[in-house]
Amino acid sequence: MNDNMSTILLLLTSFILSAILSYVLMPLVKSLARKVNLFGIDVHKSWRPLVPKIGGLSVFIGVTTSVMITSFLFNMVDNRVLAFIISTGLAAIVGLWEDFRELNPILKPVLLALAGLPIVFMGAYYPYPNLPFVGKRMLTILYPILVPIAFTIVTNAINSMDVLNGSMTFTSIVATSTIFLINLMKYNVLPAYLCISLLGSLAVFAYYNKYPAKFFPGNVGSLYVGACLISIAIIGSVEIALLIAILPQITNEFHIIYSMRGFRSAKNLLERPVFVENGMLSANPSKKAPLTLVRMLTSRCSLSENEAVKMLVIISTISAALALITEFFFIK
Amino acid sequence: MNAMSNVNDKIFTVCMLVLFLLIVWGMFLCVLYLASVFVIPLGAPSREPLLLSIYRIGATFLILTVWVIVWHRLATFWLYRVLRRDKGHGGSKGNDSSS
Repeated sequence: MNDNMSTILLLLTSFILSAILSYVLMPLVKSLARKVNLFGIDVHKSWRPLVPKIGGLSVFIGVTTSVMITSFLFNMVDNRVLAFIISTGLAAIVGLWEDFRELNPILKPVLLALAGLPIVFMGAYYPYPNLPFVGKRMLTILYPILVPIAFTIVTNAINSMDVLNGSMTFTSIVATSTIFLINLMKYNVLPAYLCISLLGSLAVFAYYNKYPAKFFPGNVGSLYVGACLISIAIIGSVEIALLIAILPQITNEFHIIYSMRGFRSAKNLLERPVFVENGMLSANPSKKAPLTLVRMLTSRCSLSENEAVKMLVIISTISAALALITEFFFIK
Repeated sequence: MNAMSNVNDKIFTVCMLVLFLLIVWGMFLCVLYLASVFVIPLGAPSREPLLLSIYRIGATFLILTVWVIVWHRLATFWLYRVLRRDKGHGGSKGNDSSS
């Protein structure tokens, strides 16, 4: 079998396997949520349904198991795959911990930074990032310091987008597809294969998380997806493209932190960013309310939850296009 | 007529947010360029005076701080001056966190 055929088979197998595993795990996750009473109220619906809030567990287990099996079957096991599994697993554990019991808002970013350390210690990075306009730069000392910081930023950014039914899942599918495409075009097989495993699980999860959601991803899901994205970007040396592809998520996270004057729990907010009336979202006009992307979207006219998510996906797609333009036109 | 104006508002919001994203993207590329020129030496590492190293790190922090402040000011301007149209509202208090 030639190289191309083997690569196509690897990509197809990992996509299908992670999708099947996630699909099979959904009922188990639901019964686990019932056992440990992990349900969240969907505050944007007038009937306020209770929804299992650890749906992301199926994505975590689905992707990890799929990567373990396929990397063994296709001889892909190396330090980068192991670092990916360990780092993303640690981020998922931090998320699960927060789903059970709210973490201190300062401790959470520290723990997420620690989750990035296996990437550093297992040498799963290439400290010569390709920067726009200037080309490759040597960052042998700075790069290992930047990895944990990038882990915190990206995982929290993806987490901050989990505000509406499907908003985190669909925008992450757009970002993951972009990183997959870039890696495929550069023939970076390993990062492309990790991307497609994540895409398989996310595609299945999107079905359950779309409006009206039957499952929430929870912190376990959103932090895991964020950790997967940054790990893949570091392994594939497409860090700049990822940061641009998730610019809406980073913008959202950054303005929340800035307008709240630091890391604070969302439960301690004096003013909510949006109001909900009859299923329609409208922005809070108060200057004390945190600046979020959903608040910006709803500042001119009220939107239904579904419409807001569609707009977020449009903005993410534009961001993905900018990431592709940057990668192929501005990076030497 | 009302439905038409609602559609126009939605299109306007998306277009303005895309424009905002384009400006943020441009700013990000500029900051990356400036940081890579000021802070990261090209090619093999060479021994340089301590003062020059301090200058490089200081310059990058300055660039990042200016960027962060400009980015937030721009977002605030966009929300209150570009996107928002004054309108009364009521409604039950909810939040934008579904989990």
